[in-house]
Amino acid sequence: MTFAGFLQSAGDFLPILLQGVWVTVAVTLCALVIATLLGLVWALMRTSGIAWLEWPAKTLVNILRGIPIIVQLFYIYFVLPEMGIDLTAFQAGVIGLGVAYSAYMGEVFRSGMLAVDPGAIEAAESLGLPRWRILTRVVLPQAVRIVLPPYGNMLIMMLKDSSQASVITVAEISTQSRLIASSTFKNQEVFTLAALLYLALSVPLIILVGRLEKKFGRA
Amino acid sequence: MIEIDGLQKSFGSNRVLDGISLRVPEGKVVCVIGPSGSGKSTLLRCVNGLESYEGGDVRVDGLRVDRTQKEIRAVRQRVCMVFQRFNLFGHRTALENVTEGPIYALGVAREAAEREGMALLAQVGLAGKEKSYPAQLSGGQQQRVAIARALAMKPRAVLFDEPTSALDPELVGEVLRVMRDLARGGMTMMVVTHEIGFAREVADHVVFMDRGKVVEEGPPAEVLVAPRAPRTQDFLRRVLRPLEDKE
Repeated sequence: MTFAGFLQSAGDFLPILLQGVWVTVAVTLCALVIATLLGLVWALMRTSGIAWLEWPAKTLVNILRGIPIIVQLFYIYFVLPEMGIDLTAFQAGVIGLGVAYSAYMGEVFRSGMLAVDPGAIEAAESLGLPRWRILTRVVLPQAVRIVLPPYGNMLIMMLKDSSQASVITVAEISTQSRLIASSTFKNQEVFTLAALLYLALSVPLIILVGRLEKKFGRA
Repeated sequence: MIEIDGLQKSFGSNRVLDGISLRVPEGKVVCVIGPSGSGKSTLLRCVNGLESYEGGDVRVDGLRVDRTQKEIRAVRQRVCMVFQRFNLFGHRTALENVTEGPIYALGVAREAAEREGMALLAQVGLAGKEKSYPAQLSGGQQQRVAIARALAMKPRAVLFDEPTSALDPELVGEVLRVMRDLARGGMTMMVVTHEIGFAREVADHVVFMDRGKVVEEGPPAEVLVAPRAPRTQDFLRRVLRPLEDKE
C-alpha cells in the first residue's frame, strides 16, 4: 500500500464511510440519552432507601451487566419480533446499547451520589428542606461534578461499542467498512480508514474528558 | 422552648443518652459541656431530628420531635443547627448558602431572601463576601456563614454543635463574638462547647454531661466556678489546667 494508493482509496471509500460515521454518531447519541435517563432512574431507585425500589434496580443492573452487549442486541433484534415487537436495526441498536449502558451509567451515578458530602446533606435536612429539594439542590448538583469525568469515559466507550450494532446490520462505520472490504479486497486501506475515523471521533472526547478531570478532580 | 424529658438513645448496645431531662427556656442560653463521648452532640442532634431516639420525649415549641413524621420539617424550621464542620454547600456562594433555606424550605421570594441574606452576612461581619465560595473562606468565615444560614430561617432557637472545635485557635474569637452578640440580642441558644470561658460569660445555665447522663447543672457561677460533683471538678481541672493533670 503506497501513500498515494491509500489517498486514492480514501477518496473512493470516504463518502460511503462518512455515511457510516453519521450512523455511528446517531446511534451513540440516541443510546446516550436512553442510558443517561434509565441510569438516573436506576441510581435514584438504588439510593432511595426503599427496599422494594432498591432490589429490583439492583437485580436488573446486575443482569444487564452480566450479559454481553452483543447478546442483548441479538435478543432485541431477533427475539422481540417473535413476540410481536418489530424494530428496525437502528432502533434495536439504539435500544440495545442504551439499555445495556444504563446499567453502567446507573453505577456511575450512584457512586457519584454516594460521594456527595454527607455533612451538606445533613445541613439541608436540618434546614427543613423537603426531600426532593435536597436531591435537586444539594445532591445532584454536587454529584454532577463528581460524575462528569467517568460519564465522559462512558461516552467514549459507547462510541466504540456502537460498532457492535454491526452484528444486527446497523450501517455504521464498521458495517460499511466490512462491506467495502469484502467487495474490494482492500482490507488494509479500508480498515485503516475505519480506525482513523473512530480516532477522529474519540480523541477529541478523550481530550475533553482529560480537561474535565483536571477541572473537577476527585474529591 | 426546648423541653427534653427522660431521653434515651443507644447505638447498638452502647447507651449514649441515658435518661436526659433538660429545659431551654425562651431567650436563654444553655451550654452543655462534658468529655468526648458523653452524648452531648447526640443530644443536640435529637433536638433537630437528625437522630431518632428510643425513649423519652423531645419537644420544641410544643411540637414533638420525631424524624419519621412529616411535621419534622416544621420543627427544623424552628430550631436550626450550626455544625462543628460547618457543613456548608460547597457548590454555592456564601449568599446562596444563606438563601437556600428561606427560598426552598419556607418559600420566601428570591429577592426578599437575598436582601435578608445580605443583611445577615453583614451582621456576622461578612459584608462583601456574598459571592465567595466556601473554599475561598477561612474556617471562621465559613462558620459565620453557617450561623447566618441558620438565622435566615428566623428560627425560635439555634443549636450549636461544638462550633469552634474545628477552627484554628486564632479564628475562634470571631465566631464566639458573633454567638455572644446573638445571645445578647435575646436568641434562644443551646450550645455544646468546650469553650469554658464562653460558657462562663454567656450562658444562663450550664449542663455538665458524662456517659449519657446529666451529672450537674446550674448557673455558670456554680457549675463552672464551684462545681459540687467530683466528676465535674475533675473535668474542669483537666480542661482549664491541663499541665497540672496528674494520673
